Amino acid sequence: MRVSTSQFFQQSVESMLARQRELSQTQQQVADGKRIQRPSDDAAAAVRVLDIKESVAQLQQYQRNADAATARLNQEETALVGVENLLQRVRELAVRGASDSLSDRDRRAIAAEVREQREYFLQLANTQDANGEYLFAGFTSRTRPFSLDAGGALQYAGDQGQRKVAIGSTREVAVGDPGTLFMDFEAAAGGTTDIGSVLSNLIDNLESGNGYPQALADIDTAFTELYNTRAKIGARMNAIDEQKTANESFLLALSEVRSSLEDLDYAEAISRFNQQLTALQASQQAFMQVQNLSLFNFLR
Amino acid sequence: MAGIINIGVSALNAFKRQMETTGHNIANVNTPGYSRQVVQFEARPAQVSAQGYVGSGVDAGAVQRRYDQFLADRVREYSASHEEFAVYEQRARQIDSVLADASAGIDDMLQQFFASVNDVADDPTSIAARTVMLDRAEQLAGRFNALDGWLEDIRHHLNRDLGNQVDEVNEVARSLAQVNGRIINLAGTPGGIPSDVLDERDRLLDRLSGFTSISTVEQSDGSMNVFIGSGQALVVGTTHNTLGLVDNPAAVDRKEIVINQPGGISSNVTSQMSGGSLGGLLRFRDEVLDPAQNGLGRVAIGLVSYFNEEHRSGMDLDGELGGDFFANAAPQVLAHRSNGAGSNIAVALGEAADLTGHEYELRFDGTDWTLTDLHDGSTVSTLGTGTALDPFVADGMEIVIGSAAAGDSYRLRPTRGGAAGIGLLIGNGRDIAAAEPVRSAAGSANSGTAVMSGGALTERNGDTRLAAPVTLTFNAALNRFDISTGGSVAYDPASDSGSTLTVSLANLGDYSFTVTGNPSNGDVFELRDNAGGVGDNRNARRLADLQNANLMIGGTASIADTYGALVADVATRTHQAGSAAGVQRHLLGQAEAAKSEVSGVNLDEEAADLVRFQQAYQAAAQVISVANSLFDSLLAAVRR
Repeated sequence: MRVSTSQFFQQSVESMLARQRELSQTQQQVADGKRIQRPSDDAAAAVRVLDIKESVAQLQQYQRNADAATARLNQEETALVGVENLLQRVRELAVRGASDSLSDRDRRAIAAEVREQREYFLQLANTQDANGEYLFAGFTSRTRPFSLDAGGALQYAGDQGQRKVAIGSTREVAVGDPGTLFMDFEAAAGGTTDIGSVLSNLIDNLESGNGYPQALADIDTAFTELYNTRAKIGARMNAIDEQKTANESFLLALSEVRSSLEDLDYAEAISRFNQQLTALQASQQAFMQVQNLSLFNFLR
Repeated sequence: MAGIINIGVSALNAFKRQMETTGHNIANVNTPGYSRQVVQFEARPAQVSAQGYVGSGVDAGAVQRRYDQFLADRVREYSASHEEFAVYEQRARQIDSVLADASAGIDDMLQQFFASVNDVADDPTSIAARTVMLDRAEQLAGRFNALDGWLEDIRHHLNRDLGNQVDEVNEVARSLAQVNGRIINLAGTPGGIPSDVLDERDRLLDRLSGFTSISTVEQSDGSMNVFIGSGQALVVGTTHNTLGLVDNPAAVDRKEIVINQPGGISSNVTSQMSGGSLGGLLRFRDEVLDPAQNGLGRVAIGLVSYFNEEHRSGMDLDGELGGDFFANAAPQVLAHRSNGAGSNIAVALGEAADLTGHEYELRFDGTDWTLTDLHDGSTVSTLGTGTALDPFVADGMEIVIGSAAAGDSYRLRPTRGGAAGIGLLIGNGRDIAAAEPVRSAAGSANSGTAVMSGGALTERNGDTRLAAPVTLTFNAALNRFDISTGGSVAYDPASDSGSTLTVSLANLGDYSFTVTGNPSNGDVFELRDNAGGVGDNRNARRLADLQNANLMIGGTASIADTYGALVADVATRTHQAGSAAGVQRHLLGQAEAAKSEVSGVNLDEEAADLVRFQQAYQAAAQVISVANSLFDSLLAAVRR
């Protein structure tokens, strides 16, 4: 087979250009640490990586939601613990106040403290978070939910709405409870009562001698409501912890898959780089040695 | 003696001719398309003599051109194929590398946007979170706009390149016709057709096949006819036709190639042009650029349509019903320039899930309308009759016919402007509708265990917030809730617990909620206006859920999936074009090697020839010298 001189040069140059192209591509991979420079390098893997990035972003969002939920639930719990402690103190006062050996003045002194506690209860029921949202107002969270009417009963201006956030793809958790938990529980004397009324009735009893024999029973019912709500909060926080742990495992698994698709195997890449470097150098040297050969060198 | 001298002289002439030719070959070793020339020696006819036939020397015959038509045609064929794939890949690569890029592509920005929606769902009264959501929305819209603008740039350059290349093809065609003329004139002359003129024609043909695939037919008078496309004549003898670049009669940004034939006839050959850079550019436009821009538009329109729909079913911080969150682009309707003067149609966006990302042609034959999907030429069946109350519905479009004349046609691009048209309409974070307009409350006297939860406006068809509460009273005997405004909704505690019920609220829309548990007879639930419900995040949650919802492609793909499909499509085509170009490059290399095996100049070979003919020349000169001394001897013999 004849090889024309220009064909000969052209092939040698083509060959060197091809080696350079390969070397340049490997160099780019090594510099980036990525096997896939652009989607066309591996279309299926590139789209898979997009999918994974999206799933990862979602899971990270769920973790953020979970953290926000935990923070809010902690706040709620703190407020409710405050109310429980308050009721515990009021219970003690109620027991003491029921003793026959107290004078009117003593009873009035106890009543004064119950008044203080009632004030404190209102503050706790109207707790606001860092954003200024009332924790126990339902959806109308910028409107102060609790006040006492003229008769000392608790008035609730909020609604029954309960905010939920997503902590997993199919899991949501409530981040609060509407203020109705302080309202409308069964009174020992029949009908319904609320914590405000209980405290107010106790104050009346101590100050004016109006009988309130159901005081302890009603306080205990209130405790039960609070315990129930705190149990729910506890359950929610457990659920959040569980889900967060699960999310973490998903995240880890996903990042492993992504790495296997996208990341460069440095050992393989660098040895490939060296091979290609050698190939380029060899083709360049071969070219130099051969291009000098010509019969015209020998024609005088 | 005379005979010997003649023989010597003939040899000298012949070898001199050969050395000139060898010198010519050496001089043209680097000339592209040069075919090696060789002098054919012919022995002169023998003279008869008493001893038999005696030779009389040598003649330099024709200068033969080392050339194989078949090999040359093969090189042109592979050259056209290679150029087509190489140009296609180069352009496609531009789009491919940008689409999935984190700082230029859509998917990262989409995730960040939905993350900000989630943050508003976590904290709906936070102005800061709302402000961030608007920022991210603006950035997302901006990203769509920028990508589309960049694709438009590519289109602009494509059109310009098509124009330039069509001009060059015409240049080459003109030159070919001229060369044909020269060849025809030289055909009959004693010298024959110079090899170099034939080489020149070959070079022109090679150049032409870089632009488009050609086929050639040699005529008996020596001229070469050149055909392009599916057999349209470009050069016939000494005349040539020109190509032109014209606007598509409906879409002025789409250029078409026509061939101007004698008699003023212009035929559109765009779909027949294949091979070469023109073929590559046209295929790139049809297979990558148009689908990319339409596909990107589809992603944008899908996002806007469904996000707006959900946003409008919510309530903002000031208690107002949600408005459109994003601006959307209307479908492009391009009328054919020969349509009737008063003809008009209107195309609105229908269900975004049905959008295909293709372009369509709508044609009226006088009685019937036909909708063709230009992606594959198939006819699309439509529902409806085309009136305002009953529009033609197909593939996400709703078409209303205004007035039409027979022969009217329109080019429809429902998603083409989507990415350019997306924009943020909301300027104030307070206007983000994170809450629902309705909330529910259980009656305080309820004795059953039923709980009403969730609740969302799922279909808004009015603008009035709930003026008075709507009460649902449970009727145990009939297993239903009686609605205070009329009607009822069925609920059987035994089987329907946990299911979703829907109540129609006048001048507002349909409100859906979940009921779980067992209500007692007479238990009431109240639906009331969510006044002051700023801590309500239900609509924000529904907006955030749009990220994962299978909204598009007939309900099988999410917004991000639709974008991913676009990325995959471009990536696959780019990759395939690259592979094909590599294969063609290899085939082209082999074809070129085969051609130059016959036609190429090898300097060593020429050098050896020089030596050979130099020796031969010296020998022939020696023959003359010997003949001369023979003559001298003869003269000396007969001198007195």
